[in-house]
Amino acid sequence: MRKQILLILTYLSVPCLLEAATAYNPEDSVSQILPDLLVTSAENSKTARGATPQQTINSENIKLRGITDISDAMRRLPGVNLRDYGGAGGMKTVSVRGLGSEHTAIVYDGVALSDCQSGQIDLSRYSLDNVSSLTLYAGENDDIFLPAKAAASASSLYISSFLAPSTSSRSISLRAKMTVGEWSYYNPYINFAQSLGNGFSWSGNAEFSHSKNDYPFTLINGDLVTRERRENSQMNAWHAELNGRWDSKMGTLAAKVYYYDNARYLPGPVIYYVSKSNEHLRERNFFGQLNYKGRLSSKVSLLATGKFNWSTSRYTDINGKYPGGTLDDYYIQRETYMTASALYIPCRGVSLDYSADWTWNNLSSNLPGHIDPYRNSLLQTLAAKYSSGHVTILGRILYSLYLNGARHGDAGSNASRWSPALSVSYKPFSSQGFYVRGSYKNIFRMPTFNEAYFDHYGSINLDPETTDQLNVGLTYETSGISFLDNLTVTCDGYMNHVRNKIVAVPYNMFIWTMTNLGKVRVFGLDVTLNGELRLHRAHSLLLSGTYSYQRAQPRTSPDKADWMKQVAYIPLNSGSGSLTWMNPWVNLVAHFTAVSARYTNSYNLPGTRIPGYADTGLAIFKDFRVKHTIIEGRFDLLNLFDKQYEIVAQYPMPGRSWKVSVEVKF
Amino acid sequence: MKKHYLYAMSLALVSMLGACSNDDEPNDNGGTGEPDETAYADVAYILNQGNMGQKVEGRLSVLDENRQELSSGVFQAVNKRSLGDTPQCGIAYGSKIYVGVYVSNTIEIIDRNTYKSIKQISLENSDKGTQPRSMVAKNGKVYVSMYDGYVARLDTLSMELDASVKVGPNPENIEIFNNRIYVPNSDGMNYKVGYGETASVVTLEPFAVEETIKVPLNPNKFMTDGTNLFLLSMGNYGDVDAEVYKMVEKVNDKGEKEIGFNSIAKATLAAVGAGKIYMVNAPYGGTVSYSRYDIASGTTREMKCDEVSYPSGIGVDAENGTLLISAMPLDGGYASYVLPGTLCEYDLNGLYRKTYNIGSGPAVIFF
Repeated sequence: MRKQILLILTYLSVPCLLEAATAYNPEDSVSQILPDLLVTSAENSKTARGATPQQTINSENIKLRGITDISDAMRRLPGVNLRDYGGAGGMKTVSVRGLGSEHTAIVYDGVALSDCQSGQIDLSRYSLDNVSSLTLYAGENDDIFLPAKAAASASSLYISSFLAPSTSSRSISLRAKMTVGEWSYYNPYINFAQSLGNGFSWSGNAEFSHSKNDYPFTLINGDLVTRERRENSQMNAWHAELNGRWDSKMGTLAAKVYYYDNARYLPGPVIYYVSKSNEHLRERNFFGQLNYKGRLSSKVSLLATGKFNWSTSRYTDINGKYPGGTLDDYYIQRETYMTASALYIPCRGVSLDYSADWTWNNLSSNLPGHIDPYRNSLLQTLAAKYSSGHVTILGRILYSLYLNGARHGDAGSNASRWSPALSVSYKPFSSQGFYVRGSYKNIFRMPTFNEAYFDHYGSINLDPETTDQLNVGLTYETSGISFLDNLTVTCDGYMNHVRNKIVAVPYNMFIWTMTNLGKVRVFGLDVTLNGELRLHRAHSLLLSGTYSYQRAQPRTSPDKADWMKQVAYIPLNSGSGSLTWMNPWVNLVAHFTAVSARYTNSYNLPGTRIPGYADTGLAIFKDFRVKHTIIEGRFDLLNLFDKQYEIVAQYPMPGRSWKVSVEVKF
Repeated sequence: MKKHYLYAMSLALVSMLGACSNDDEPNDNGGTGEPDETAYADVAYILNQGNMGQKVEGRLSVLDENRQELSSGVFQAVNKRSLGDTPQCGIAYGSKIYVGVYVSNTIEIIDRNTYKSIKQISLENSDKGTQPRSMVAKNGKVYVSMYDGYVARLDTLSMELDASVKVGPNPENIEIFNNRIYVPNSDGMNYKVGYGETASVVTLEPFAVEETIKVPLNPNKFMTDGTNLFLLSMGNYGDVDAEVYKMVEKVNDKGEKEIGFNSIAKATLAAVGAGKIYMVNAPYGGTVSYSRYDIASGTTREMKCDEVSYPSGIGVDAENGTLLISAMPLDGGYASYVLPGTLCEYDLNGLYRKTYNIGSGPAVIFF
């Protein structure tokens, strides 16, 4: 019975199925889970207690910190570099701690998303309306009951959506939200959840998002200063999900069906004297996944997941230079994924996990000469965790086997590797929430299909790109000292190495190719602070801040012109902060993100510098209760000082704008 | 004859003279239809393509007639605005310089003495072709090949595009020979299916396609010494090498005359001048070599151009007696499209004279 309650509590608290898996670890007692249940402004306790650096933003934090969209959420996380091509329709990818974005896994409701073609996931498709929590692990995940794939990336971002609730009684809930913003942005969202009794429940959500996205910007061309607009930038996206679950004594079975469709115009980079763009991109993604989790005995638990994923992208451009006047590149990716994990708890404080994954990916296209590459990935992990009152030690070894093939041509090299990871957390004083942690992780990424096969560009002889990460951190958490509530402070220093970095080099004047050339070393520091200042019985101030220092040095060869310079697009300093005044009238948030100057290339040439910026915003929100209905209103002012800046060169970001949303919950 | 004429004169005086002879375009040189070039110093123009994705602007650089000083970015300095993204071609003709900017989709008409922009023609909404690739001039007209499959005609007096003809796909470097424009139809955007194997022959009067001839794979640049026509074809960067050919008239089995192309040498860059073809061969994955081919005797001589780091453009000026090869710097063994490049000067026998520092991506040289 206690198990059952634990299970229910867990699902209520952490909708992510995999995070929920931590509940099976006896070390994660109910008392440790409870703070999540009662979350208001309290941080996820693992932020300080985790043996590896991890930061969580849940749906409550999103509101309290005035986070406006997923790219803003990314900017509030330490060590994260966001690449944002601007506005609602612009592509957004993240890289963590000076490693390329291909090293960051995006895990959606427990299963890693894949893009075998580019190796990068565009985060712009995940709307915060449907996010219950975001957790970033810089390095290893310190949970062990996970699919093997969870260990196969240098860092991972876990996105958890709102899933079906689990209650024994029948109930139904409905959430509807409408957001309207400048430049014809509107985004209706609806979510329902129903418990049918006998352990059955289901939920679903749907959203549509439109934006004309034609925001103005200032173009400076020598002495010529003009006010322009982003033309050809509109998008229409919709997305729907259906979830079902069944809880029984045997365990929990959860199913999900997902569909996403986005048709957007691409404004392209800002080019002097040209305003026209005819580029268009249509992306569609469908996946279905089935997940089982259950406890076979008091010592053995099982986790199994199967997924099928289908995604397409169709890029079209109209220009007389193309054969027939149009370019029409159509790509289809398919993925079949299966994973099983067994958790064994021989005695109190010790847990062991064995996980095995198999993934099959392929890429087909309408392009002439396309070779239809595919890849079989076999991953296995063996992990052990020991926890006592003072010490947590986690070790994991991953064995990866990647087998490449192609239906109509030569396939890339196969690869197999052993990848170890070790992390330790130590709590020196039992009465104080003070922790010392250290971790090491070695991992690599396979060449993407673009890198291996792209016509006149790819190379099938590439080796994997390897990373080593070393982290040392001090953390502190307390539920309260005098007028301070829920204080969490983390400070992590790290050193990362990249070897066999995959880079494009010109083979001659006309042809470029990919090769393993670069070495990079990154020294960095991530500091975070979250706290609550109680001013009065009904008034409090919430404070949240991050600071990151990243010194990413190319170290390929002293003869190269980029030796020991700063890697392209990585700022030396970046940070974020928010201050929230909670009060009985209307809650107020002021927030900012700031990034120092970056260079477009690793040579750091003077003309190629992109100036730093600070983007400041204001949000007000208020909840009303009318009988059984909660109405939540929110108003945002974005880029308050109308700062013109770029994250990616030639892709200006929007200036000052507003956004209003009203949410109704039954 | 046009060189050394203004040697000692100051730039200011040069501009004044230039201003006086501003109406020199057609028919002011004894009825030949060609403008008088003697009034202009024999400078060399170099286009730096830059790298706009990394915020490196395209530039027009000028090497003075004494081959002493290289002025980088003269357009930007005078006009206080950018030349644009990826300058692709240029020609100095009469009192003006014409520069085609490929990505910015413009033709800049620039005063030859002051470098002031006289007119910027935007091709963005042009019905006469867009995205300029190369330029030639004759009888007061500048002809521009456009990558969307046109050759457009620019009248130098009205400074308007007054006509254009549809040619094959993705035309590259055109040349005038026997009062016809030879247009290499590279079909470069269709490379996944295969590069082009045709050239369009366009008569000047009337301005129309006369015929389409078969040429070696992936034609890139027609060149002439006045009596012969040469063609550089790039092959497929695989089993078909880039080579320079000479156009010949052959008699086929049926006794009919037809056009053929005889291979001269393997080359990836070439320029014709002073009775020779100067060639650079930087094959896919191979070592770089330099040679000059004597058109009259048909002999080829190797040249040593060790000063060139990675060749990106070539130009020969017979009157001034200079051979210029632009280069990208090597970084870690590979050419850098971002780091500033160099311009190496040789005499017509390939004897090294000097190296100039120049902006990134120097690819086009004209005189």
